[in-house]
Amino acid sequence: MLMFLEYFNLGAAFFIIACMVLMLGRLLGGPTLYDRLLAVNSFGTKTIIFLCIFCFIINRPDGLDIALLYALMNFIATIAVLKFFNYRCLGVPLIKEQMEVEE
Amino acid sequence: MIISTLLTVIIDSNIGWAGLLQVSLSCITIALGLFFVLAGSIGVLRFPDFYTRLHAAGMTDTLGAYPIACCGND
Repeated sequence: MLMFLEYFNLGAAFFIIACMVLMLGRLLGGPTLYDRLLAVNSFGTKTIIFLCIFCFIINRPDGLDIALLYALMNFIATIAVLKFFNYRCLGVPLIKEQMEVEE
Repeated sequence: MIISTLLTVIIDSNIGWAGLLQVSLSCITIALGLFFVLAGSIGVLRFPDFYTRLHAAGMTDTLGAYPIACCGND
């Protein structure tokens, strides 16, 4: 039964990799910027799922913390890319009143 | 025959009924998460509009990630 669980987790890992390949298809052929960004975000989510299943395979649940760290990094990276493509610069304050005072 | 095979496997692998229940629940939650991950991937790849693709990606983020990351621990 435990051997069955190992094979099940291995199959789940390859399944996640196949879903990541599908997401690469949307990333390469997305019509707009937002489609590509959504594909990158979903790719990151599948990465953390793959990391969780990898931790189940090697029987070390410490990697779940690293998976949570990957989730936080994914969120921050999405916000940073959206801000860069809105302002064309990363050194812009996010609060509008400060910008009006500076102008 | 299936029940006898299962009994043989349980007695041989020495995990007990609680271990069998734990493994079964783990497999069920991981299979549920994989189903929603596949649904979200096909939705992002094939839906026509951006907002419908956003709906499919949110499906992957919630019902795909949480059963695997929170409940799939063996």
